[in-house]
Amino acid sequence: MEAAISHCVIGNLEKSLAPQLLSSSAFSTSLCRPMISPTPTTFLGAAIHAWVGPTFIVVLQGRERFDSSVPFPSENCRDRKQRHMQRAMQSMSLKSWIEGDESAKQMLARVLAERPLLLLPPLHRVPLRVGNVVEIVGPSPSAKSQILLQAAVNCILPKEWNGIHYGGLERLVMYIDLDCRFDILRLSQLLKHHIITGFGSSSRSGLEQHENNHTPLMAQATDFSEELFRTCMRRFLYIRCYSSMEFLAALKTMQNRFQKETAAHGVDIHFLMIDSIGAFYWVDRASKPLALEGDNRRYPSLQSVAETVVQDIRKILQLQPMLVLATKTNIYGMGAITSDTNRTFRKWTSQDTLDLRTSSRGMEEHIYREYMPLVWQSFVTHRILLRVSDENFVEGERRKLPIYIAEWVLPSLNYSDKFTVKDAGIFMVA
Amino acid sequence: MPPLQSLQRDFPSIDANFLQFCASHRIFSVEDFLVHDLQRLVAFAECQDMSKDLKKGIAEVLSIIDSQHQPWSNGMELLGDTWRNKILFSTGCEGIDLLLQGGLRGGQLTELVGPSPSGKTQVCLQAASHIAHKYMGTVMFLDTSNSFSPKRVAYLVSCLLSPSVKEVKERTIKRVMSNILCYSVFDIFMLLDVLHQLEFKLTSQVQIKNEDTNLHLLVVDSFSSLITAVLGGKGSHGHSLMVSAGLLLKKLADEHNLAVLVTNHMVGGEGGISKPALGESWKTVPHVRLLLSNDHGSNFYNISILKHTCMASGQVGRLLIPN
Repeated sequence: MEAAISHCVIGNLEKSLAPQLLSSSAFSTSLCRPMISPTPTTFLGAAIHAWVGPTFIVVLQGRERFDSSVPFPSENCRDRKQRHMQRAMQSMSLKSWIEGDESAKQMLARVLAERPLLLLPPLHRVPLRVGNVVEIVGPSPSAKSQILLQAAVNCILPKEWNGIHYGGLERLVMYIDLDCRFDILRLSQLLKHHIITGFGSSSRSGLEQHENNHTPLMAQATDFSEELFRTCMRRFLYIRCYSSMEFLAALKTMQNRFQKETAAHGVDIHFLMIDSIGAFYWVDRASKPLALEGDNRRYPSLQSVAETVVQDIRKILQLQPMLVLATKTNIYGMGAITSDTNRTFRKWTSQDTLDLRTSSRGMEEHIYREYMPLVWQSFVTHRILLRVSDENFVEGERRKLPIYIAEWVLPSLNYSDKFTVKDAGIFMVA
Repeated sequence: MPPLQSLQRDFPSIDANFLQFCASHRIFSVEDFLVHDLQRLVAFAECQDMSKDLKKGIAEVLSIIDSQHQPWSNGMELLGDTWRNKILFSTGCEGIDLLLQGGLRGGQLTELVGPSPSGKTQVCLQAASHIAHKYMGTVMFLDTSNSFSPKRVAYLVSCLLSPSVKEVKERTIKRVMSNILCYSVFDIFMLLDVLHQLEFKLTSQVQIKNEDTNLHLLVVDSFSSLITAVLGGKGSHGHSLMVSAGLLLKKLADEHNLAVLVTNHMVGGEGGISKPALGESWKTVPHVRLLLSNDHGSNFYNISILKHTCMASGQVGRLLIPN
């Protein structure tokens, strides 16, 4: 609930209020800083106070901290002339805004429709929305990419198609593949499965009504789902990068691309997916500057690449609010980042040799080891931890599927969810 | 990525004035541009005298940057490319083909992991001879531990041929054998060198002939023995080389529709239990990981999927390697 409300305020800021708030002395300092302001909680609280009264504050306090990565309309901050113009134009709208032109219920409905929360298992415990940066951390394999694909399918599917309910978002997905092992066949397999089950559930109800028209209905449906399949697949935008430099080049020139794509499809981009963010960690860590003139120049290193990546993504989010999902593989290397004690938990127990997973025993103690530069760490607003459990999920007679455990660490929740990956996608295990 | 100075000739808006402006921000190459905040740079340029020219120069560099990354493509384009170019290569090992629902996929990096002996090299040789014979393609075998045996390959190929006149058979064997190119590679730097040369060759071939190259399979047996030699110590250099080689293999695989097959041996871990020589950091590299193990000294080998992009892990199969 809190998530939706804080977004409401932002939503309204974008629409009408931002220039007004800028001119009023109370808010100018926090808003004029370009882009992400780390202290929106206070002024948001004040704004909500002014607007809907203290009843909502109770709701606010009950939830986790406000997420600071919501993009602010900073283009307004930049251009002074424009600001003056808008200041004059919008003196009316602030008044009407304070008086309120919609009830909280209406507002909630509007915001949920405009910016739906992502409630997708196993990410369903925390409401996620555009502007958030979610990091999915786990060893390999721990179904990280699977979660991305599941979210992608959910995003590219329409809410409804020819009267059949699919429950998707009907938005675009941008997928940046840094590991370079994305398999389009898996995505199409998942998508087909969703289309067929979506059709299956409604065709059954359809059949009850027109029991005699069985065959034509089926024939029609295959045509439709093929068209639907193609439309959905076109909403999935993919790029692969073989180095940090290519990644940066892609980010720097992404703006043109998404403007083109959103214009062509008529819908927004909802997800920016990065699989996986630490892919070039080792390469960048070992990189040395080329011997060019000028000594203390800013050469591409782990630190400067991470800084620029964060900076560029922030700028992109400013122009096109998206939900960022990034996976990150646990790494256990040598040297500076791990000491001897930490290495002991990669023990291979006798049963592990059979399926070669990293033992999850002892994982609790060393649950999470950060290796990305601080600038990326602080950019992340939500973090979920995945690991493989020792149990298996038995499907059918012979198939044993590994059970994965998901646990939120940012915000820290005390329970963990179990899930498994079937051909049709992710299933929660009780 | 090139230094700015070298661009002066091809791009008129990158002139001495622009170079001086960039140098004042410690930018000397296109790479340096990438780690800079371009919006801020534009803002600085606006304060200068020749702001128009400078901004033009920045736009020029940005268009160069745009050509430096891989192209964006949508799901249908990717799927079309996979259907057209990323075919499944049957390995000739029934167990593997059955388990992988057809064989090794072009564009993917497949890893065989297992103790010695577990039939890794045999699978490589079998796949090499089968693909060279059935698909009339070239196979490149990078041999790091003198494991390539031409005799064995000749025998495997002769098994594939239907009984016919001796001369015909011998001619076919010769043709197939000449399509399997074996290179001895003894360290990681040589491997990177060979791979870069191959990349250059394949790319220029594509440009000249404007058609698909004939290379179908690239084998590195054993990949891990090259890498373990440089791993260890305090530095991250070994890991960096491993990841770079992995990325290069994946790039070759994707751009030239090759199936890449590498092997990873096992070493004694803690408590006497063996583990793969390339461990956690390597796991993120291959598309498909297969575990091989010998079944009590017989000709049968067990094989199981550790990781697959489309299939659930844990599926097992059996495979017969004839003597």
